[in-house]
Amino acid sequence: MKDEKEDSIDKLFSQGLKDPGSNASYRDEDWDALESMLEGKKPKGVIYRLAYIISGIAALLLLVLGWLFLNPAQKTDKTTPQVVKTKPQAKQDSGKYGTPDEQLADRKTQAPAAGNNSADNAPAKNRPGQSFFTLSADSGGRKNAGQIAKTDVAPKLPTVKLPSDTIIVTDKAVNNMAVNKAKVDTIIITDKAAANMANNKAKADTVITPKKPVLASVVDDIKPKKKTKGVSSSMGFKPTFALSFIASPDINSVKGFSQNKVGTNAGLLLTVGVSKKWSISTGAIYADKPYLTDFSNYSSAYQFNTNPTSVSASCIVLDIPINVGYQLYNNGGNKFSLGTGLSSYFMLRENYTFNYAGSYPGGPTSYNIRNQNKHIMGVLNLNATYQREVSSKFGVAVQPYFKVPLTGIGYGQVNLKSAGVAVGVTWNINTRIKP
Amino acid sequence: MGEEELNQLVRGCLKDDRLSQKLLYKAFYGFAMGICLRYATNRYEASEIMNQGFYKVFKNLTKYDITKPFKAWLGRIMVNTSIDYYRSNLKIAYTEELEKAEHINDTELADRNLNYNELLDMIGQLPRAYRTIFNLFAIEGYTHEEIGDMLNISTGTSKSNLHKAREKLKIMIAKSNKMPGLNNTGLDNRQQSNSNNIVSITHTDLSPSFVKNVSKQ
Repeated sequence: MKDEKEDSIDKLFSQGLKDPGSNASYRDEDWDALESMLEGKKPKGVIYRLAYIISGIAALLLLVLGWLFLNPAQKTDKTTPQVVKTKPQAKQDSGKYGTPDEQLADRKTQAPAAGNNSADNAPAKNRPGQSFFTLSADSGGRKNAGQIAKTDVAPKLPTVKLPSDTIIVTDKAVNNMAVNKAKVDTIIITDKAAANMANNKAKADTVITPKKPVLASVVDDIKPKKKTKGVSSSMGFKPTFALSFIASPDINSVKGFSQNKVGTNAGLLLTVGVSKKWSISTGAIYADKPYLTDFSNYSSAYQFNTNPTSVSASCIVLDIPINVGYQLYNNGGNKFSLGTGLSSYFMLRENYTFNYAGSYPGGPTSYNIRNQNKHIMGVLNLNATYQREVSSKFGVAVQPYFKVPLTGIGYGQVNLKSAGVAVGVTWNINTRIKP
Repeated sequence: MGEEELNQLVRGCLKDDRLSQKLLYKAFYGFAMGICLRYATNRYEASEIMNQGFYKVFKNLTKYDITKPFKAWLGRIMVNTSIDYYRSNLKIAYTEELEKAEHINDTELADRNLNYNELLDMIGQLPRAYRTIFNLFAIEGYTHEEIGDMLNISTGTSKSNLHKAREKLKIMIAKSNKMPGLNNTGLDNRQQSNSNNIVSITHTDLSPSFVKNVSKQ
């Protein structure tokens, strides 16, 4: 074992990684994230993430079940909007750390989880609550601390009431605090510590280092801050870009999904990550959308002598989507996000075949047009994406999606819904930027 | 920071005083981040782990023994939080044919002084399991038996993963020796010159032997 320990590569790394230097320099964003955790929002633990995942899966299931079990004859028109509604609802839950019940459950599990930590137990095994600190922590102090936390909303004089027997507060320091009317970090420094602090003036705007140990005021360089609740971003963000090639079988239907035909989709998408959670994607998807529908769902200016019973269509569509995505989960190379947005359909080619009841058609049997119709922002997109990184640059993605028209599609002004599961490869153009 | 100042901050933290918590956080940020960066894939992840660690520190501060060095206790929590993070992320066992690096000898390793960023980048490229075991053994100083217990793996797995981690690192070092132009030595020098700005509180290091003592107690 000793030989292994003395391996030169171990030494190289253990010595070389001793001092992180400016790589580990303090960031306010990190404190903000921790502060929001301390203010009652749970740390991002496994359970916490599970809530996200479960709500995401629930939204997906609702979506899928909605498509599959719609009764087209009776309910299509009413149920479709309901399906659409369920998604934001589920999303809302996941965005707010779960339902109250989940939050309660989270809190219950939180304490034992922290207590389970072997680090906590190891040094403290033989000291059950008898430490000096436990004895000195009185309830009054806790109340004060609570007040401080609440006053974070507006610029204020910090009402820090540390025990008078432990901290010496000079009048001068108090005056300083009053004049500054900003958040003030207080620290007591001795001669030795003062020397240390003097070297770190970049961190503190003013440092008073008198000969005797006194209270120094370190005016915090951050804001009288208005907390942006829910922001748990732990650092500054640079936009990220990812290019994806996707392809999918595309199930098309006009009413419900009982009469459906399967087409194909393929296209390129560019996704821009605008924050840690939010992204915008756009691109071009070439889609072949065949469908079959009753003639009653088809509107035409042409007056048929005898109405056809049904219409078979084959449309070639260029789909230009603009979607926003919200990442619910990102861990260990697995990402899960929900997205919505609008698509513009450019109908490149529309071929309609009219089917008649009798053997002798009472009207035209087909109708073909090219580049006649376009529907700018005419289709609502809903999707959920699971992405797995296979390397730092490349990932694979699976994306169930649902496209609901907001306007009639094509010459026949049909309510053409599409659903499918797209699979794709993603090239992360600028990921793994180590700050 | 002297002992008394630290104790006062700890007392403040025990009363959930946000200001004391922030000062303590600021004071030990560099130290804690230094540990978490080694276990994480990137800075985002390191920040997340570190904050989880500090959350545990603040919530379990009553368990801290004032007679023991605080920095060592904090270091242990950061390491353990990193391990927890590793556990929660290790869903797929990592298997990979290893490129043999036995032809690379130690003299090649010493060709050039690798700076912190280069070393961190290399360690960051290791699969999470290798990285965790390498950190625990080579840097934290745990034995394979202890690592086996911590990660719930056999001693043999720990040894073999350590070996693979070293092999991979050797290959990375050998490659970087062949392409020294790609290294960001200049950047690092610039960063090093600023490193004095980091608040360093005490000078005690989390040495392997020390950690062991703490854990045994």
